[in-house]
Amino acid sequence: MKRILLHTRVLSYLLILTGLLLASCVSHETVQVTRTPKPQIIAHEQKPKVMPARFLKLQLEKQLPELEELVIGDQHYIYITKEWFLEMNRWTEEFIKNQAPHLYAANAFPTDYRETHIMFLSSMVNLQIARHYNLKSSALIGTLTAKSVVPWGNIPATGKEEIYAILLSDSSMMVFDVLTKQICDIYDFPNLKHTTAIIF
Amino acid sequence: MPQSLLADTIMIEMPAAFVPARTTSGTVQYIDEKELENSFRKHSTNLKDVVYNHRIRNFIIPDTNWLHDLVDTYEAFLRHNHLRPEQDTWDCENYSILLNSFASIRLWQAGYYDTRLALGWMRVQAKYPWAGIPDAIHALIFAVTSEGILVIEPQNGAYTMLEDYPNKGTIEEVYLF
Repeated sequence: MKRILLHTRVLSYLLILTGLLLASCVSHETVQVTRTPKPQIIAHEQKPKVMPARFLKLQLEKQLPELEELVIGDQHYIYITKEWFLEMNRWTEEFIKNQAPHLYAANAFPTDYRETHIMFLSSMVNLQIARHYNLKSSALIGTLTAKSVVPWGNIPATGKEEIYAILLSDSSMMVFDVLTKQICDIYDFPNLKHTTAIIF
Repeated sequence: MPQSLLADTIMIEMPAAFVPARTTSGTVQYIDEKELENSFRKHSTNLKDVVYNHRIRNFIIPDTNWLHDLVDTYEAFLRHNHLRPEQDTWDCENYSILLNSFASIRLWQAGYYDTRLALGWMRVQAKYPWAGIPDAIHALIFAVTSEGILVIEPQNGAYTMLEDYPNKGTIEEVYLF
C-alpha cells in the first residue's frame, strides 16, 4: 500500500514538473540558426585595408548631384570581401525567413524591410569583425536611397525612392539589393545620379 | 570542445509573440519622435539632437514584460553567437541596431508592418559611474515602455528607469531608428 502511495506521489510530482516545463516553453519558439561565416577582411601590408572617411565624403559628394543627405559616422572604414558579404546576407535572410516565412511566401514586405535587413546585416558584420579581429573600425555597409528613374534588372522605373545596400568590398564600392539580390559596381548602378541619401 | 561549438546550426530561443502596450480602452500605444524628444528634454538640458528614421513616424510601445523577454532572449542570442560587448570599442550602436532588428522581425511576425519598436540608443557624457561602467562618454540603449523610458546598459544587461538613471542630465544625443 505504502509503495502504491509513494508511486502515486512520485507520479503527481512528475506531472506537476511536466506541466511547469510545458508552461515555461509554451510562449517561446526556437528557431534553427546557421553559424555565421567567419569574417573575411581585405589586408594591405599585413594591416586591414582602410578608406578614410574624408576621402569617401569627397568622392561621393563630387559624383552625386542629387545627394541631399550624407551621414558618415566613423573616421575610416575597412574593406571586406564580396564573398563574405553575400554569405552574411544569406545568413540574415535565413534568420528572418525562419521567423517570418509568410513575408517571402506572399512576396509582400513591410515598409522598412530593406532598411532593417541592411542594418541587421551591417551590425552582425561589424560585431563579427570586432569579435574575430578585435578592431575598432567598421566595415563600410550602409543604405543608399535612390529614385528609380531607370530600371535596374528586375526593379522597374517607378520614379519612387528605393533603398539599397552600399558596401566597400574587395577594391570598389558596390550597390546591392537585398530582395532581388542584384549587385553591381557603384559606377554601373543605373540610378547613381538619382541618389538622394547615403547613411553609413 | 563542446558539441555546440562544432555544430553548423544551433537552436535559439526567440522572444514570445509580440505584445504591444495598450491604453485602458485597449488601444495600441505609439509614440512619435516629438513626444520622445520632449520626454528626454524634461531630464536633460544638454540634449543637442534627436536623430530618427524619417520613413516611420509612429513607433510602437511594447508591453513591459514582453520587452524584458526580448532583452533576455537577445542576450541568449549574443551568447550563442559568442558576441560580447566590450568597453571602449564603441559598438553600442551595433548592439542597439541588432536589438532593434531582432524586435522588428517579431513585429512583422505579429503583423505590424508600418511601425518600429520605440527603442534606440543615446550618447551620454556620464558624470557618475553606473552599472559598473566608469564616468566617461558612453552609449546606452533605451526603450519606451508602458511604464516610462527604460535605460539598458548593453555591456551587461543592467537596466533602470530614465528618472532613476544618475546621468540623465547629461544625455547629449538620442538616436531612434
